[in-house]
Amino acid sequence: MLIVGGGIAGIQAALNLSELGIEAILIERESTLGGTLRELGSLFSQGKRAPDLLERKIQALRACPSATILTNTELSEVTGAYPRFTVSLKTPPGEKKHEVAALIVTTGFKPFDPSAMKPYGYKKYQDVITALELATMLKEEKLVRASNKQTPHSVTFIQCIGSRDTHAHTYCSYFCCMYAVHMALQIKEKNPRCMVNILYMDIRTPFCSELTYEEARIRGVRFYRSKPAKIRAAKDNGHLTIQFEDTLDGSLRFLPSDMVVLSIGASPPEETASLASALHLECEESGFYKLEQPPVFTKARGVFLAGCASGPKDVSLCLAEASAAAVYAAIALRG
Amino acid sequence: MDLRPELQEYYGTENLYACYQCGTCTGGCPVHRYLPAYNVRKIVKQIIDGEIDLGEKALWYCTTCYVCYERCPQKVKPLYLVQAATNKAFKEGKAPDSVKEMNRILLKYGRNSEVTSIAKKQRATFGLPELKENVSEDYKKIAELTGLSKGL
Repeated sequence: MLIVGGGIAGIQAALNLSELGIEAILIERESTLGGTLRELGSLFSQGKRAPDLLERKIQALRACPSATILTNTELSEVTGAYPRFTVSLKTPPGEKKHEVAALIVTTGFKPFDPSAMKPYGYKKYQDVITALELATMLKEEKLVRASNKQTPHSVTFIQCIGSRDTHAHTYCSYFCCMYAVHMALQIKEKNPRCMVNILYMDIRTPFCSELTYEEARIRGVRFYRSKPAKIRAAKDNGHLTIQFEDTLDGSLRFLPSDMVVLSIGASPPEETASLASALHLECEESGFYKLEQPPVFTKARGVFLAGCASGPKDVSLCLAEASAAAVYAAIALRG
Repeated sequence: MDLRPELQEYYGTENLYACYQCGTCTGGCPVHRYLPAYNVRKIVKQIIDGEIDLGEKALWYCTTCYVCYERCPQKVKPLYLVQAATNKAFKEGKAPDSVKEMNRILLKYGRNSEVTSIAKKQRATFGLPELKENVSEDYKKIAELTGLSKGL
């Protein structure tokens, strides 16, 4: 069994397969396992910290004798079909060939790059950061402005960056509202006097996250329904002002903010299309792999999808899908 | 007033109902900043609901700068919707007096301001040819075909 991608979904799938007594090869392009989760701190969906979760899973995986972890490894070619695929892997020592019965694709996502969105001034203004950068700051407990290394007095989140937008991706990235509300609460907890604003178009916090949203409102996080038009910086001190129309009362507002956080969505990784043709998979209009039948089945027999490879998901969904993929792969192997 | 049947014909409104009222258009609008009565988002909403008031003076404040057109995340083309509304308002004779007056001057002189003696003198000092005072036949034809003369 080959698992492509060593993020949380890949780790979980490899772990479950090993528990079922099936040999699993987990390949990861980077030098360490963990994928996007490595950069995160507290998780909204698990109520845990990402480093703890990752460490626990990776330790369990390393303890499994039937699991092989290959880092710095890429998939170069796939031939054959179910139940006998021949895969060639590009490893640091050289090309290796393996025979596997099935593949689980857990290639994940790439964070959206907002630098093309000129009105928001990402990369132009130091204090405009992405949510991923904020997550890393909160993980290290160092919430500071990049411009003057001081704790911000006000933080503003802008939702739907790169999502639900015909200039970027038209789909909803699912997790942005939830992580924004969660991080807003984290900031409020550490620094109750810090003003936290969230500019949203629609708050999409399904299931229990609705309670987090309610808690955020009670704790004084301010919500404005708007997609801002522009972020300006004062010439002398670089203070940021967000220009937007509050669509609930129709007034034009100029909101000063020490720090602006762009809640970026998920983009499909660049390699999706080339890997799709190698595996005889189809891609959706969004750029992610197409599921033939949820939760894990694709058009190609013996190739399963898990995690964000088929679209943006949160950690708990990734774990559930990975386990499902592992079980269906086991069924495919044993007939 | 319901504009939607006409929009289908002239502007192609495949994205009209995609509008989710995010306010990007109004937030970036240079006119709204100084004249809050002009709110593009509300005009789009009124057109979607088929309840636009063509007698509204604020419709005419648009400077056609295309900011709303460029930034709209759903490609609703708010600018074209405003233009559709003003066109309809003019045809129905609901345009404000200032707009009507400007068009009267256009029809009378062929330009949007009167040719004064000062202007004539200035042109002579710059060595420019004399201006014709009569309106060209082409312009009259355009005014006739577009219904410009009817809306007055």
